[in-house]
Amino acid sequence: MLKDITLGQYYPGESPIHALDPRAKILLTIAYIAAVFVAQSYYGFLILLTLVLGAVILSSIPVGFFVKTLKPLRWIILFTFILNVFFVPGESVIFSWWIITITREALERAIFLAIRLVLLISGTSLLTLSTSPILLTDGIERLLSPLSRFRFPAHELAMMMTIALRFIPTLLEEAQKIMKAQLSRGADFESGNPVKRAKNLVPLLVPLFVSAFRRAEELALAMEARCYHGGEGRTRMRVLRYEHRDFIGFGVMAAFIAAIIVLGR
Amino acid sequence: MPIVAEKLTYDYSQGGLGVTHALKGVDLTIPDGCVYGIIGHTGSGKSTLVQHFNGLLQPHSGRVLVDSLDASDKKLLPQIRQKVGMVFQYPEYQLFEETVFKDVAFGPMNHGVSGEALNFAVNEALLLVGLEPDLFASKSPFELSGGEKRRVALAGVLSMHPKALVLDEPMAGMDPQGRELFSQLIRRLKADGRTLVVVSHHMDEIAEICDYIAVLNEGEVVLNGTPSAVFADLELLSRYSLDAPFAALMAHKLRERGFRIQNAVTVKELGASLIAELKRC
Repeated sequence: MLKDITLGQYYPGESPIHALDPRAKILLTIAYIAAVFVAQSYYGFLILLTLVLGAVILSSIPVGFFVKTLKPLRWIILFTFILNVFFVPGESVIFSWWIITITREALERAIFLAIRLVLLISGTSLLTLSTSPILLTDGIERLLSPLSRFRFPAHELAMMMTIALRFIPTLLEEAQKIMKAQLSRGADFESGNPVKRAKNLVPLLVPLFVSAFRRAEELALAMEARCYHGGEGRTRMRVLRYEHRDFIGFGVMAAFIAAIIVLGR
Repeated sequence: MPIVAEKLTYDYSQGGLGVTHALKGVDLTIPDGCVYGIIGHTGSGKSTLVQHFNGLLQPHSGRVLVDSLDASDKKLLPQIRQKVGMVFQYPEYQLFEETVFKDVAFGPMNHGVSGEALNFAVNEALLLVGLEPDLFASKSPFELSGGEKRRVALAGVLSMHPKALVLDEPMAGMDPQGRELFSQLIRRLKADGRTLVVVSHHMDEIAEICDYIAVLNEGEVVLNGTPSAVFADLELLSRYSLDAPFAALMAHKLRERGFRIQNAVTVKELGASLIAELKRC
């Protein structure tokens, strides 16, 4: 049920990919996203596919597990595919019936976009799979910290993300518990029309909100008791430092992007 | 109303990282009208087991019979959930309605009770847990004290008139006064002819109120019987990482020192045999 959500999950490991500096990984992912949009031909996609597959193999995350994390997104991909097939205008008609016409251009474009989406999702999910949430927010905070000179709340943002990520499993567990308690009292979460179903969620949502606020208050107290006062002057236990492997990562990415610019446009 | 588990197994999947066998073939019969205690170390499968009793979890093999109804039959679920009330740990977190009355009425309303019968069921349940309906029915459950909240939540289950009641760590975090009130309530429900299943870490509490006890260890029933039979072998208990009730430990220690004290599980029993021994001396 709720536990089967694997998108954005962390897969613990000790591979070279896991060991990369989170800042480097975030920057590499951004570069990769740019590269996906630069690529304009199947050649370019092939190069990107090689890059992702290479990274997955290097990360020693089982390919089956990797594919499973992409599964929840198959509907979005299918939806955009269908949308493109039917609504992109074109000239050379291959199929026509009633008000439906499919043109060669539309089909090509749909396939193109679907591949682009798959590449985009698989590349970015490799980031979350190989980086623990704490390191990830650490990396984001450090990358954004130059902006704090312009009063951008980099630390606060990162802390909020850390807390939010930390409480996802807790709240899921809580939701399941409350759900069971209400099911035991004869609540029904599964049948009825959408309006009725939404109404039936009240016995689940109210206690969940109450407990989220309660937890927030407790956490605020616990943080204050340990003298938390925001990011200023705060030292860290794990100081991020770029290593050789990070520069190798940058180099590899640069080479791939160059290849795409030359071959894949 | 008897509850029977036959060769019950249940596994939890760990999201692609293997499975945990929570229950490995549990056979258990909970006779009609008794108080049945289920004890075991954390992670022994107690909560998993009792969640099968009203069909919240479906067995992966084996079956559960509630009043001879198969709990894996989806069509029977509303009926079974009305028969078996379930009170979870910290039940006060399930409150959601604007008033105590509405919250307590939630269960019976889901089972089609309305009008005068509903009023009656709610008032009766509130009285049973020691809350005066006139004082509490129109209050918001969120403005009550912790103890009162828990009693309202309990009333919310009792109002469905379940023939059996499963209580998962019912006294966790309660003060002594609350505990006393609670064990009184359990005795009253038992006298009323209801079957009670109590899951607890608190051995004294279990020894005090239960007629039978089952010990769960790593998903298997390793020991069951009356409290005096289960708490007789202290060494065996410690092998399952369980404590013994205070009275049993005391009796054991006194016997080691040469006193002729009989096995005891409650303070009352211990007192009786101490008095007998002192008179003899």
